[in-house]
Amino acid sequence: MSQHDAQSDGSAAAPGNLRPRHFLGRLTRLTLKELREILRDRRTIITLVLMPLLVYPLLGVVFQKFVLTLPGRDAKYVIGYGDRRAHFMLASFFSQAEKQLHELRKDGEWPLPPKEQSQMELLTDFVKHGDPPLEELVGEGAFDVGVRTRPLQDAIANVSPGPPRFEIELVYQRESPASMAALQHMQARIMAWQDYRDQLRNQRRYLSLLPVVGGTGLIGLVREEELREPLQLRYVNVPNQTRDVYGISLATVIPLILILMTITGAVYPAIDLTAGERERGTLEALVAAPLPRMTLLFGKYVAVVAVALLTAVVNLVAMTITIKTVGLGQALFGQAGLSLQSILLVFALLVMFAIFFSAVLLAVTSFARSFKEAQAYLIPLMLLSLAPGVMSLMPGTRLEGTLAVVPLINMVLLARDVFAGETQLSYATVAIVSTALYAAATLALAARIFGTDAILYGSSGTWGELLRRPRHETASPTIPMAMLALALIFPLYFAAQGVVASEDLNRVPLLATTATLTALLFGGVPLLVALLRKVRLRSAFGWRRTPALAYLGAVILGLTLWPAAHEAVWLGKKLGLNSFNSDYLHQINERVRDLALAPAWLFLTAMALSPGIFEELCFRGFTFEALKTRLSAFGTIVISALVFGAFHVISTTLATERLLPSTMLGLILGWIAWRSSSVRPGILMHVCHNGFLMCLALYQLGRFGRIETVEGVLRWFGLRSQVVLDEVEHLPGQILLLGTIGPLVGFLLVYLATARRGEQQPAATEPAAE
Amino acid sequence: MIVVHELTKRFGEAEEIVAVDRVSFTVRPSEVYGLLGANGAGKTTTLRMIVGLLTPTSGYAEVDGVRSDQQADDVKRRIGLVSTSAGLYQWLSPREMLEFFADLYGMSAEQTAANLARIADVLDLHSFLDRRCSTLSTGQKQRVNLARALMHDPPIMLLDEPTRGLDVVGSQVVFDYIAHLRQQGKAVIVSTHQLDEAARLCDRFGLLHRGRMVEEGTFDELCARTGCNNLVEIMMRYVRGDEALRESVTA
Repeated sequence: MSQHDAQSDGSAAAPGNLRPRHFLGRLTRLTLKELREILRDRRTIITLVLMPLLVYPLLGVVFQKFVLTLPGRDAKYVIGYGDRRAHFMLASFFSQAEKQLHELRKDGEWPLPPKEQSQMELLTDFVKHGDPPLEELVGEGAFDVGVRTRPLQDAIANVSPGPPRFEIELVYQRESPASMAALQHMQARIMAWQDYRDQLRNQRRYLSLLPVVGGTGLIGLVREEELREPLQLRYVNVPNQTRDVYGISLATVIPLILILMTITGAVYPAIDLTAGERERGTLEALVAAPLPRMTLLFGKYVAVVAVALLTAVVNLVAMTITIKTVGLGQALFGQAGLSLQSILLVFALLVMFAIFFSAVLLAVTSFARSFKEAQAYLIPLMLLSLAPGVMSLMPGTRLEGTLAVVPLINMVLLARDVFAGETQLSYATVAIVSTALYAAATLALAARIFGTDAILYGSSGTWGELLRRPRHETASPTIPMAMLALALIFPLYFAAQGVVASEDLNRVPLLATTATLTALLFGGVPLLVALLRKVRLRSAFGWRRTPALAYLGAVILGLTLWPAAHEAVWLGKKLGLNSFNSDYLHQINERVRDLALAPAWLFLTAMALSPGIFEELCFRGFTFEALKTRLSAFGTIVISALVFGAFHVISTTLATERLLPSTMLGLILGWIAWRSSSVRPGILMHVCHNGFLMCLALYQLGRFGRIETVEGVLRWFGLRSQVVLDEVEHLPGQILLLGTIGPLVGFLLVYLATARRGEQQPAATEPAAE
Repeated sequence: MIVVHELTKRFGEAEEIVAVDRVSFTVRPSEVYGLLGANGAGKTTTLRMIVGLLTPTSGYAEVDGVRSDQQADDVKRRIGLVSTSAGLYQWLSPREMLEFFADLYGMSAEQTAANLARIADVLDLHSFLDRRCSTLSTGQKQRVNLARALMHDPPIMLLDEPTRGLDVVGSQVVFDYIAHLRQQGKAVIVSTHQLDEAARLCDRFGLLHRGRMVEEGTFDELCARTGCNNLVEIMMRYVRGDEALRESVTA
C-alpha cells in the first residue's frame, strides 16, 4: 500500500507534518491526557494540597522564631535618635500609646504581639557629635532603628501659618531581622497613638498632656486642626553594611522556598510521565506512534509545568494565609507587607522556575527506567538546586555580568533582586531569556534519550547516548539541534562580551577578537552540533548553488535596504520601542567610530564580513534548515527572523529600537533563503548591508580621503559627508526613493532567479530521525 | 506486505551479543505468519526492528515499500503493535485511552468514534469501556491492548506473545481476533509459545533459534523437511541439539 493509500483510506493522516493549528490542537490533547492521568492520581493530590497545608504553618513558626529570636540579644533593641526633637516627639507619647495598645488588645481590637515581642525592651541612644550619619549607624547595626525629624516640605506646610512643622523619619534595615522587629514594635505604638488621637478628635475633647506634633515640639493644648492631621512618617531603608549573621536577608531566603515549592510540584509528574510510563509498559506503545519524540515530550513538559504551577498556586494560598496569621508580612516583604503585587511577583518567578525545573526534571527522569531509578537521580539534583539559593546569601553576589547567564543562579539572584526592589531590567531580561533557552536545550537533550531503545529495553548505556554519534548521516538538522545550538550560543556570546569588555583591549586586538568570537560562536557552535549529530554539513547550513541572478538581487538589496532599516528604527521609536539605555547606545556608536580608526580591512572584517558570513550560517543556515523540516515557509521565515531580531536586541543590552530593523532584515533574508534554498545569497546581502554602512562610517572619518565623486553623490542625495545617520530622524527624499526602488529591483531579481525553484521548495525533507 | 531482508541486531558495547542474525522473510496481505522460537531466540527484537523501535545493525525491514530504519514514522503509521509487555494507563478508561491513541495516529473524531464502535463489537469491550483501566482483569486489559493496536486500522499487525498470561477463554478471544485480522486482509506476524494453536491459525512459520532463521515454510513443508509431526517436536529438536552439544563439550 502506498503512502497515498494509507491516508486515503482514512486510517492515518500524517501527524509528523501538521499545520501549526493542528499541531497545537494535538499538543493540547496530549497535555490534557497527561494532566487527566496525573490529577486523578491520589499521590498527586497529596503533593498538591496536603504538603503545603502541613509545611507552611511549620515554616511560619520557624520564620517567626527566626525573625524575632535570631538576634539573641536578650530582646533588647536600640533606638537611635538623630536629634532631641525626635526623641521628644516619639518618647513623649509612647507611654500613652502603650496604654492605648493595652486597651485595644484587651478589647480584641488589636492583634496580640508574638510572644517574643512582648518581652521586648527598647533602649534609647543618641547620635553624638562626631558620629557618622544615622544611616551608617543603622547600616552597621549600631542602632536597630534610627529616628530623626525633618522640616515638612509639602505644599500644606509651606502655606500654613504658624511655626514650621516636621515629619518623623524612621531609618531601618530591611535585611536585618532585629531592625525589622524593632520597627514593628514602634509601628504598633505609633498606630495605637494615632488611634487614640482619632478617638480624641471624635470626642472633640481637649487634653492638656498630649504632645503637639510639629511646631517647636512644646507640650501644649492640642488644637482641633492638629487632631485632623495624621502623624507624618517617612521610612528610609538602608543597606546592610555588616553582613554578619543578622544581616541575612529574609528576601534572600524566599528564592530557596520558591525552588522547593516548584520542585515539590514537578517531581512526581515528571517521574510518572517518563520513568513511570516505562515501568507501566505504556511507553513502547507511545513511541510506536508516528509522532516525533520531541512532540510527545513537549506534551508531557507542558503537563509538568501546569502541575508545578498548580502546586505553586496552592502553595501561595497556604503561604499567604500563614503569613497573614503569623504576622510576618512586613518582615518578609517590607513596609507594604504581603500585597497583591508581591503575590503576583512571586507567581511570575514561580512560572520561570517551573519552566526551567520542569525541563531539567524531565531530562533527568527520561534517563530512568523505573520510579526508583528516577528518584535516585533526583536526590543529587535537588541538593544541587539548593546550592544557588545558598549562594545568593553570600555578600557581594549580584545579578550582573556572567552570573546573569549561569543557570539557576541567575533566577535565584533575580528573585532576590525583585524582592529587594533592585531589579535591573537588562540583566533580568538576559536571565529570563537564557533560562528559557536552557529549558529548550534541556528538553532537546531529553528528547534524544526519551523513548530510545536504551531506555525502553535497556539495550545499552544511557548517558553515553547523548554524545554518541548516530550510525547514519542525516541531511538536515532537527529543531532540537537548533535549540541546543542557540542555547549554547546565547550565554557564551554574553559571557564573551563581558570578558572582552573587562579586558579593555585596544582597537586592533578588540576587532580581531570580535571577528574571531563571531566566527567561533555563530559558525563553530552549529558546526560542532552538526558534526556530533552527523548531519551532512552542506545541507545542514543550506550551502547550495543558486542562480547568479539571485546573487545580484541580494547585492542590490544589501546596498539599498539601509534607508528602510533606518526608517524602521524611527517607526520603532514612534511605537514606543525606545531604548531605555540610550547612553549605552551612544557609547557603542562612539566606540564604533573609535574602532574605525583601526586598519580598514580589519574593521570591515570584524563589523561586516564575519557577522555577515557566520550570523547567516547560524540563523539562515542551521536554524533555518532545522525549522524547515517541520514548519511551513511562513513559520520558518517568521520564527528565524524573530530569533534573529531578539538576539540583536538582547546582545546590545536591550536596545529595543533594533528590534524592528533587525527583524525586518531577518524576514527579507529568510525570504531569500527560502526562495533560493541556499544561505549564500543571504550572506552576500548581509555582508553588503553591513559593509556599506561601515564604509560610510570610514569615509566620514576621512579614512579614504576626500573623493569628489562620493562627495557629489552624497550632495545629490542631500547628505553632508559628516552627517551621523543615527542623529537624523528622516532621510532625504532622494535616499528614500533609492531605498524603495533598489529593494524592489532586488526582490524582483531574486524572485525571477528562483521562480522555478520556489515552486518546488519542499517543506520537509528529513525523515523521522531525531 | 512485509519484507525482512538480512536483518541483524547486535547489542553490547562491542556489539558482541548477536540477538538477530541475518533473518529474512516476507509476509503478504491476508497472511498470518507465525514467528516461533524459544525464549531469547530473537522474536521480539525482530518485531521491534520491523516497527522502527530498534535500529538494525545491518539489513532492513520494509513495510509497503518503506524502510523502517529510514522513514520510521511512515512505517509506524502502517503498523499496529501488540507488545508482550504492553500496559494501560491506570487512571484512564479504555475509551479515553483508545481515543488518545487514535489521536496520536492522526484520526479524526468521527473516524475514531466509528472505529471504536466496530472494535468494541469485535472484542466485546462495551461492558467495561468506561471503567478505570486499573480495575480491569488481565483478559480485559489484553483486549484493550488489542483494540489499541487496531484503532488506526493499520494494514499490518504485529502481535508479540498476545496470549501470555491469559486463560483459555482469554486466549480464544485473541485467536478469534487473529482470524478476524486475516479476514480483513491484514498481514499479521504472531510471535507465540502456544504452538498447537499457532499451527491451527498461522499460514506459514519462521522458526528462530539463537537469532537465526533455522526453518521456514508452511506446516506441511516443515514437517516434510524435518520428519517431525508437529511444531513442538521441530522446536525441541533444536533445543535438544543445543543440549547435546553442551554435554559433548562438557564431556
